[in-house]
Amino acid sequence: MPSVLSLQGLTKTFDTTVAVSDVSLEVDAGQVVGFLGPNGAGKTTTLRLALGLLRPTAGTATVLGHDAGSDAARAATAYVPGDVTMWPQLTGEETINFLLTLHGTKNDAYRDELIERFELNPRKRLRAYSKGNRQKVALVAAFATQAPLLLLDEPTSGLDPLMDLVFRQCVAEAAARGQAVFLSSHILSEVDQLCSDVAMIRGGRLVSVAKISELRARIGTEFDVFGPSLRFDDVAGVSLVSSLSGGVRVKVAGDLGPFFASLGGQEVTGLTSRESSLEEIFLAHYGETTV
Amino acid sequence: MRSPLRLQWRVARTTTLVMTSVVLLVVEIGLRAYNASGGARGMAPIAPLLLNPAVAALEGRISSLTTAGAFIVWKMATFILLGCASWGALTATRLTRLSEDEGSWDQLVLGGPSRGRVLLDTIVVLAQTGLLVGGLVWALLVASGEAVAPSAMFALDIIAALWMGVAIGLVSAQVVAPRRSASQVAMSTVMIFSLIRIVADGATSTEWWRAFTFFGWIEDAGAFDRPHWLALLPSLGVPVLLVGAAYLLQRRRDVGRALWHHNDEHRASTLLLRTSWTFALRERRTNWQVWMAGFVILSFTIGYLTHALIVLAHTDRRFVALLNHWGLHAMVRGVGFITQASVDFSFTFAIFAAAWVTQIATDELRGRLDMPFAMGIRRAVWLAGVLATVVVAVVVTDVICALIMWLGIVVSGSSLALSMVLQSMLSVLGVMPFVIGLSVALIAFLPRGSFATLTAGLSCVFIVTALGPVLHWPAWLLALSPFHYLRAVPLQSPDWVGLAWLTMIGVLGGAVGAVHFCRRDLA
Repeated sequence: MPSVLSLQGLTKTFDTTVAVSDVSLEVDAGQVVGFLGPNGAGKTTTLRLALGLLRPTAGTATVLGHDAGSDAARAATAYVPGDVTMWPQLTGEETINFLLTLHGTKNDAYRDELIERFELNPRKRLRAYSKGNRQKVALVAAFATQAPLLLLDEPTSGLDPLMDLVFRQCVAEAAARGQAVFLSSHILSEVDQLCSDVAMIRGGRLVSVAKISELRARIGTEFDVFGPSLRFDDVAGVSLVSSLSGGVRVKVAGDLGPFFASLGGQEVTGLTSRESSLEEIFLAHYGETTV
Repeated sequence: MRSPLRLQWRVARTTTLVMTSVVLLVVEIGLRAYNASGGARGMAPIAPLLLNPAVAALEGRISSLTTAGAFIVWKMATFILLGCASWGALTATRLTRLSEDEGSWDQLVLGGPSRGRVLLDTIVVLAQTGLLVGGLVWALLVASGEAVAPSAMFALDIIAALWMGVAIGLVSAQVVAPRRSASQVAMSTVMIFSLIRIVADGATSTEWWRAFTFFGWIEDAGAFDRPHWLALLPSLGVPVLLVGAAYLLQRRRDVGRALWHHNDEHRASTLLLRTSWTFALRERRTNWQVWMAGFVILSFTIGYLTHALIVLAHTDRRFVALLNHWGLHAMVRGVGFITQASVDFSFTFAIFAAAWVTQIATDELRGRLDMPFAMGIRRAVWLAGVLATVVVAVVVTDVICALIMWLGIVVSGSSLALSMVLQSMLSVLGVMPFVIGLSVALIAFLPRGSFATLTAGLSCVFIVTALGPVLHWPAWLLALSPFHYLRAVPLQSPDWVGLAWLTMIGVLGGAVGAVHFCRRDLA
């Protein structure tokens, strides 16, 4: 069975600018993949290529084996842009209904449930909505389709923390239903919580596609070790981060066995560990680039 | 220059240049047309007709055509003044209401200057555009040998019309939101003032109506005729008062909101939302209603004037000579006048159709099509819906205009078979496949500025058709205009060959455009 979303060698150039170069990744049913990168890295361009809104210069984008932008691909896709701009004279409900009609979906009960959960007043015209409420309109329409693929481009910008929680629940439910979710976001805690895998893009090129747990292991785990005269000079994979009062902070990359073996020969009065955060992973990939 | 001033200048710069160029071009064409017609001597036979109500209603009032300036005031001023007032109204709502709708006004205000300061800077920019176009027209006239003082008065006429449009636009922007509604209110107001001027000049019994329209005040100043400088005071003073009112009104409302609030809450309706085809109609229905109101007023006015013109043609041989001179000999009969008016209608229909189709480009550039195209509909189906509805809208509008025109003829006491009016009006639809095809090609290849490009292009070729024969322009130039292939149906047979070529070019351009639109990157 093909992946729900498959990008193979996807490249897009605008005149002389290479926006996306040789991007390959796959998103399977029930998988939630985060898509990270600094501003201008090519995240939105990649998503628009996957939607068929842009035509690739090279490579392919397919949805359930169908070319992006084809009838079958559109029918299998739901999308939420980062800045929702629809027709200002339509109400929220009219907009949602119109989008669902175009998509060929009719699930009034689930639509109404989503409207209620997102606390959206559907009778207001779009021009009267705040940014967050316009975002809710798009989210309700996208989730209500229950399409096999959800492409979300910074979908929570403008949402308050309570609605952000509802969004996370909806994504988790979608994944549990077997929907594939490809989520571009700047909110690392959101990606950390929702996504099993993460793809990182920089300068239009994918720099990493892996499970978050693998990335953590690659970056390493930090340990605060307390005790007199601690020494880890010759232990494989261990590097000293800083001295603490009565101990040291070390980072252990890769196999933890040699580190724990070395503790056995020393007097240890205390030990705490902390996994690398996604922010640290991100910064490790991008240096000090701001998200 | 302070930053809000500089920013507003940048926003208004392109359309200011286009508007100024068009005005200068029209004045230049007027100067050349006057000389090509034999100057004062050539105009002598026309003089006795100038104050005839029917002629005055169409062209405005003037007592003699002894100078090129007077000819321009008589023949071109209606178009120039209406154009400047409309530009002023639309630009004022764009710089103020649209900026507020899009939130850029917030940035300006938060950047340091107060709201009042930003509005004042905007007013200064708009006032300067009036001075620019007026000054250049004055310079062109003087350089062409026209007297300094009357040229200055005509320049002030233009400034007054533009400022009045600006003032109306600014007040509308304070009262109504969003920008589309504010523009509709402002443009309707300008058009109503224009209509009042037509009615006022159309009969001696309605002359007093001139006091209620700034077009009448400007006319009373008598540039190149009987100068009456004091008459310019209300034309220049009222805009200042209105701008002052706009300034005071903006202090009584919140940024981003208008004084008059729409009810932004209502029950969801499924009307015209079931398919993309019907949605194309729903999206454009308000604009269609506004266009239709203008068309109805124009149709009735033309129908109503038919009687007066026929009477004039039958009682004054000089009028017939004038019409012959201008190549409009068919206008001595009612049906001839209607056929001529129908050809003029074709231009407004073309703009209407172009606006309808190029709305796709507006939607695309604003990102409204991303979600529908990403998760729903084929671009080809969306485009087909718009094309189907534009055909329906143009035909329905055309038929309604024919009926209203016929009603105007009947009310004026004249008689003309409805079938003749219908034939005449339906014949102008011959250029529509070309215009629609061209519109599709432009939204595909040049989405940014497609409507402006079409409007400018169609205006130029229409001027070629309207003035080319009189100025003896070469045949190849006349043949470039699609309006050239319209005939005075039913007095003449349609130019089937010419229209077939036009249709073929339109279909071809439309097909190439449609294929490109479906394949290209979405903006």
